[in-house]
Amino acid sequence: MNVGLMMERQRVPLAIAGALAIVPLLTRDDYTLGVWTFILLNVLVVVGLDLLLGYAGQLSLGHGAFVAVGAYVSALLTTKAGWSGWGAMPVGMLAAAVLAGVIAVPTLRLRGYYLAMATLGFPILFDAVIRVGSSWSGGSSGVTAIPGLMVKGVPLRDPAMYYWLVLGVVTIVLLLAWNIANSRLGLKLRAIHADETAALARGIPVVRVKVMVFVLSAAIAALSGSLYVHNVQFVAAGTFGLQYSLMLVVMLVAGGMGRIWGGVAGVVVLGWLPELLRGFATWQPVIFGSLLVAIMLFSPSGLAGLARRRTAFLPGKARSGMTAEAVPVHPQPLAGGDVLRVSDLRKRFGGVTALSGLNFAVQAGQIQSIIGPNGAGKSTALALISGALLSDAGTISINGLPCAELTADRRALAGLGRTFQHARLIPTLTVFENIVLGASSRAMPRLRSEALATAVLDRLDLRDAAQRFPDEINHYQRRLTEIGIALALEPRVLLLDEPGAGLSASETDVLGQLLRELRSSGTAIVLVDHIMALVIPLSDRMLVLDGGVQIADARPAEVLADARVRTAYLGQGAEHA
Amino acid sequence: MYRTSHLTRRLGLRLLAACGLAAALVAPAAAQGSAPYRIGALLDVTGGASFLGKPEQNAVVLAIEQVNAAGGIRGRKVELVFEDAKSTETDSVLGARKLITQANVAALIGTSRTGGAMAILPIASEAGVPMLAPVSGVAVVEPVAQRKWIFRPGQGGDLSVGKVIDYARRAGWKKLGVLYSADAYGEDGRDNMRKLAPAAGVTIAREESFPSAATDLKSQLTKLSAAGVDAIFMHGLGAPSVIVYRNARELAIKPPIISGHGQANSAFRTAVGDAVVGQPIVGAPVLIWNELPTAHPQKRVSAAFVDAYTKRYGSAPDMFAGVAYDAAQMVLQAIRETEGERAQIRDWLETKVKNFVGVTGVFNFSPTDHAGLKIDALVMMVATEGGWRLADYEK
Amino acid sequence: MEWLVSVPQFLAGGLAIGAVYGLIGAGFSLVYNTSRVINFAQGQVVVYGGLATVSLMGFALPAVVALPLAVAVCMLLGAALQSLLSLARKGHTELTSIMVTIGAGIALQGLAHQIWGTDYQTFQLYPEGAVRALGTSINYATLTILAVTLVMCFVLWFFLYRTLVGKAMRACAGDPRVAQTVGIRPGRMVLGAYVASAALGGLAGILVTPSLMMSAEFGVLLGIKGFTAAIVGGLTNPFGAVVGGILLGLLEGLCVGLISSDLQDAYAFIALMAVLLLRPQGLFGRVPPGSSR
Repeated sequence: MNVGLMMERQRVPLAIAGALAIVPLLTRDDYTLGVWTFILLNVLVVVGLDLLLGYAGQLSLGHGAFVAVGAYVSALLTTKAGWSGWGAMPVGMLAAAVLAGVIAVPTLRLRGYYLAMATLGFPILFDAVIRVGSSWSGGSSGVTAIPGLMVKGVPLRDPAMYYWLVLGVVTIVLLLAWNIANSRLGLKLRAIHADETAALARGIPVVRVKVMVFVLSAAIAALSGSLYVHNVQFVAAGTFGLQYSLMLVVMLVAGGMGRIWGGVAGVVVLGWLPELLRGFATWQPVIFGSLLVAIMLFSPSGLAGLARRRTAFLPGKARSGMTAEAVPVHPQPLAGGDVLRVSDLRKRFGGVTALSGLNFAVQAGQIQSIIGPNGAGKSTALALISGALLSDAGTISINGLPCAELTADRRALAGLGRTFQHARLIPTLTVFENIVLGASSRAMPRLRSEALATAVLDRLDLRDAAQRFPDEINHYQRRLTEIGIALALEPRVLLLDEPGAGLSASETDVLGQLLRELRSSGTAIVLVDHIMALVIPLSDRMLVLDGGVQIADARPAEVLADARVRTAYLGQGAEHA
Repeated sequence: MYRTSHLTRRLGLRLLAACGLAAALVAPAAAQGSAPYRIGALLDVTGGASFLGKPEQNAVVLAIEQVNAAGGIRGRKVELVFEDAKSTETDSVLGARKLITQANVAALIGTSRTGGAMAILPIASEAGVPMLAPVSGVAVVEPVAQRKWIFRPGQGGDLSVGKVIDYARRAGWKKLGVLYSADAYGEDGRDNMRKLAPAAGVTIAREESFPSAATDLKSQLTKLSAAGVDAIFMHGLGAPSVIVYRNARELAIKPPIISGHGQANSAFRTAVGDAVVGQPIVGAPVLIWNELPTAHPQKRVSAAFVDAYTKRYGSAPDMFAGVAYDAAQMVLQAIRETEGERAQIRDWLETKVKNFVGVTGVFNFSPTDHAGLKIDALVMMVATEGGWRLADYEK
Repeated sequence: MEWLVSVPQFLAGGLAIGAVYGLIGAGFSLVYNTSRVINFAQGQVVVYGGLATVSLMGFALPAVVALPLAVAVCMLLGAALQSLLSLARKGHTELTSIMVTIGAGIALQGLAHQIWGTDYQTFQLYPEGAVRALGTSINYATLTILAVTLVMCFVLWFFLYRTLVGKAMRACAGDPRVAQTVGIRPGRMVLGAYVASAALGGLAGILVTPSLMMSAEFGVLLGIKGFTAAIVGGLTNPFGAVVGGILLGLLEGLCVGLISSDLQDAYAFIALMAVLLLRPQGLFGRVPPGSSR
């Protein structure tokens, strides 16, 4: 690993740490150092919160409760049980992590703002627990006389030394957060934020990732709380209450979510703002609230929105002489078996039967198309097979593995790739990042993911578009990218939902050529489309749906000759070009 | 794209460094040897405790104005440096540090909340700054050996409870119910009651609590009444303390409700209306000063204070203002009788505050007692149609 | 355990505040239905309703004048908030809308502190006294609040189901694009929802202030409780929210009486968590999208 490259990648967090390290050299005033120390403690919490809110898009309005957990665990273990402050810190982080896990698992299964709603109650619940357990917790009076951290037998009280200590911790956390943010995990977080359905389809275990980042942010918050109590030597239930929790969000949003350094900027600026506003102390909430409103209305990305995000993923060197064989294939499909088998698949929506019994099987190196008039159930069929919808009855198996009960991400991991009718690219990721996302669901080193994604990029001739965002490329490129993401999964079976829609004749030809090459490399393909010029020549088998009912499944020639099909779809005696 | 973000990040870093520089420069060098004596006041004028902090600030400002109008001390003015503790521990800590290290105050009066006082006392202790906390929390000045620099010239929760117990004893009450607010103040009252009741032969039959935004306390009252108590001791702050009396009327609760000194202020009396008439409340002389016999040590001082405060601010002061006024007066007297250095003020407070007649009571500090008051600093009052009067028990 | 017979008393204690929670919750529901936004500033509107009435009556205005004026003030607040939201640049998400309401809530609370200070304030509205019924004492305040809530429910029903504007609002809530095809302007409907929601919130504040006393501090807690009421009843159903609120009030009263008064505020959150886990659509709401995996 190139050390220079590694350092290059860490430039931002190291620069921030460096700038903050200057502070004690510029001032020896205890008060100013004290304010900066509190700023650093808040930076800790906000950086963790940024991963949760800025990256993964989960709004936690009660994060102060985790800071309080860390604070109380440290306070109680050191005052009541005689533990060392250093030893108590990991316990506090663990307690917060466990608590976060317990809360997150049920609530993060829901979408929307249910997490925000649930988290609003944390500070109040925490307060109640402290009061009920006042015999061990000190009740509303809090915990006093918390000892300082011991360094070589002497408690650490010097403000400058304390600042360095907290800065050290902040630096480590900044590096950690920065690297997560710029890793494939960071891409997954941002994908979850933008479009959970797409994320699932790319093989990202959405709930698991959300819980993980929630737990991580809680542990970091607890660490901040522990450091706080050894400095202030006192804590009460209300110290990190609802006001504090909301202020964390305000600071993060003002500075800019989803950049790591944005949160730092927000904390620094809003940390010193009360000083500047000293004359207007009672107007502070009005000013802070109005600031939040103004930022969210006119610059939702906060201060950080001024700078365009720099991608951490760049395609590797271009390779010449790409052949079809160079497109990687999922290893070892079952010899001779069905890669995808669907049997008696049914789905009702209220009183409407969308699909009443779908049956087909696809083998490796086969293209099975599904056609039918609008409303026939084609999209439903794809949604059921990919796992975006659950079927009422029937079985699905991928390479022999029963899948009907599995979530979409598990099916993706089993080798099922899909495209959506309206391309669901993650709008906040570049084209290349989107493809890397597809290549990230299975465990493999980052270099391999990037190499895979580069190969797909080149195969689809998208290198020019690699650094652009989805809203900066044309429809054809978006389509190709959509397919590329699915290819990066190295799928055994590929579901394509109207890939030809909106393509010109020459673009359709390129698409057809691509599908042929995929077929000859052993991928099984299920193709849903209306463009007969594309479908008929490509298909090994054609399945026709009409009103949810499967009316034919045979070779194209036979299907075209079938009278029922003609009536339903193609029109009696008409040729559809 | 690459260039823009690179530049912007550089700019951001420079801004950050500039902030640090500016902040460091903003912190003024500690002024040494300047003419006025500096007293610091760290009170909660914003946030949940502002109903305490504002009157306290008024009182301290009044005291300083009075001394400066009379020519200062040895020809030097007294300067009050004020910081808002904002009802949070973090801001209390920041404010204390600011007053102690930047403004270099000789003494510190604050904070209005027990929580804030607890948070800053290590700072005051380490820096060697005498601190007077106008709060009622017992832990602020105990254990005295670890509170060398801390004084608490206010009515402690233990005094208030002690008064109630004495009243109960005289009234022949054996079983008490305790109704307390779910915060530090209320819990302090509950804990003190638990500690002091047994010695007087009074048992606590039942305890109930209420949160600060409770709208109905009939459940709690029903349970207390059903426990067969002779009286209900209420120790709490906030709106529910008003609601309790109304609810008690509606439920026709038999036992009287005797309240701690949290209710001894005009805001409460106006809000509760006549639902409280006839009920006993622990109060301070300053509230019924005109009923005090002329020989009562605090009559003169209270009359003067009430008069000056009303003239200055347009409304009569309550107990909290009185406590802060006394704290300021103590510091001023200490400066008068010493050279105004921190350690001298501390020593003076500990040794020279003997029979110090304040608005709140007659103080006696000693190396083992930094609270200085006995239960005779409080008086039992009874609510009347228009306000309060001194209870017969006192006469 | 003699007080077990006081269960009706425990329940009665929660009726009035429950109705208040319900009105606040109905407001949340109206706004969520038309715009998918959770209006975190709703709790502050409640505060303004109560405190504005205190001020107006302090100017010796009779209740008949002061109350509608206070409600009007709140409706203006609601309109102002929605206008603010409509200023948002393209590309904003529901998340940013929620943040805007959070910011507005913080600012409004600060402003309330500036205007009215931090002391508790109240005004007289209900006759003193109580009736005895079913072995409990129910004060006139409770009866009045319940009566007003009932009337408001009827008014709301009439508005939503019998007037053209109300029906248009419901159409918008169902599908804004389709509603547009028949000439309904979704922007107007959203504005109407915010105004109606603010009216309900302001009314809730007016109803609760004579009993509770009002302070700028209470906005957040009342908002959260009202929100819980809406979740319990079903965020998509304003009448469900009213029922949810009353249930929440009864639950609080019961738990305080039977379990412990220490956790009074916590019961609401335990209820919230329970509903979110077991039946996120509440009692009467529609199933939220995505929860079927």
